[in-house]
Amino acid sequence: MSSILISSAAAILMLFIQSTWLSHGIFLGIIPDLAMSVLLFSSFINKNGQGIIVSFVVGIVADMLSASPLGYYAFLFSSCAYLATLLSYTTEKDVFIIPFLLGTGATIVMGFLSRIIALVFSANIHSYQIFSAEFGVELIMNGLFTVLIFFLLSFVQRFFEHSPRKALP
Amino acid sequence: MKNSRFHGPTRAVHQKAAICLILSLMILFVSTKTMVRLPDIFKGYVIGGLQKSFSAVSSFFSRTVGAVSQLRSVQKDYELLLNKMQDYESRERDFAALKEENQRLKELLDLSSLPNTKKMAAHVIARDPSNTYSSLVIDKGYDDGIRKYMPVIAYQDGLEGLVGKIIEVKASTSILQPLYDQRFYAAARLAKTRAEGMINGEGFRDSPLSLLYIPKSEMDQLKQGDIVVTSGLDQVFPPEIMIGRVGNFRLNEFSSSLVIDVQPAIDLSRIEYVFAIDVSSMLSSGKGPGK
Repeated sequence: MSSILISSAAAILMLFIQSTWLSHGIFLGIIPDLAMSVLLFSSFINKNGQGIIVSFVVGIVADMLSASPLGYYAFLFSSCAYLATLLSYTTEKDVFIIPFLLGTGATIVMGFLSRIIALVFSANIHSYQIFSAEFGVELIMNGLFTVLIFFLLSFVQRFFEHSPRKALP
Repeated sequence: MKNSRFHGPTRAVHQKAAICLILSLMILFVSTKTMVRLPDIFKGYVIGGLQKSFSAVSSFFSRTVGAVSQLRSVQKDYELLLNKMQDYESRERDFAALKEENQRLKELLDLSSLPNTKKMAAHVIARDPSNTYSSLVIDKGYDDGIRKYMPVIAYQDGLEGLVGKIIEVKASTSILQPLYDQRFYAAARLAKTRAEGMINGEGFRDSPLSLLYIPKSEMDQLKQGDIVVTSGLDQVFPPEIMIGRVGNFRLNEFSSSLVIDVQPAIDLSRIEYVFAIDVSSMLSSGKGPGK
């Protein structure tokens, strides 16, 4: 339970940082999705699906911070977390390649899913402009920042990890 | 205990994912139809308060850092200033005369196109945390008299320009949709030829806006730098608010209208203060939208 709270708090903190301190963007006005990187980390190290629940909660908070309708980021984040959890069964975490692929992959998945949501739901829903130069910058930026977030959080990984109670002898 | 990486994901993982995804879709379905009141209250008081706090912490640190660096330069500047003091004393007399003249000119020119309207000043405290939505958060809300769909303008470098409109009002903060948002539309016209069209954002702060539906017959008279203003026909924005200037334009084959890029009058990347216009105060003066 504590790991869920810590992961949620860390990701929500990143959301606030994104909306205030990083609001002008880092390059070409593009804001890196640090919250998503934290959620990917939580999902990847917890194979029991804890990261999906955290992503859903953080997604609801992101919807409240954003002009998006409630449930938009909850769906996008939960989907990415689910895929990251599935991926954790097939590969091990490394320093660069896996975090980078997770960051860029999650951005692409969010891009395509947002298009589908925009088609299915009402006209007021925005979607990623996946063929724009800005999306390319965001893709690379999210990949690189995910590497950095994975590196930094690996020092405090035990706080983010679900620790089941030890079985009785 | 066996290492879980040798096994596939358990049924519980799929169940958790399915529950979260279905739940988020259900919420999305409900929220796109109608806003639930409880999250609004939470957004208004808790989220708005937290955003204000983060903004305050940010400005505190930036001011502190700024003050320290200023102190370093004060020592150097002090001696220089002493020398310049005498020079400035003589200029002060000229300055007083210029100030009076400037005041008179301001009264004469009255640069604002909306002189008798109620404008509520607000500080931009945050932006959307993602790149998909491009909304801005201001520190004034329902309690301050802000209402949904209020037009928002700003002044920059002596120019008055359109910024966007309010799309969500909370207790102490509001969300405004800037004109570069991909879902922003406003009735616009070319100030010179009075040709009417519609302005639409491209979704990115640095991208020009698109002025659509200007007839191709206007092509001969159109020039780069021509001013684009609101027409007021959309019943949202008052007429004659400057939107920007014409950049590149082209005529697509088999199209009856031009595609015109418009450079916004206000640089929204460095915007700090905005003014929400109370349209109801304009209606009494007969200068409201659509008039």
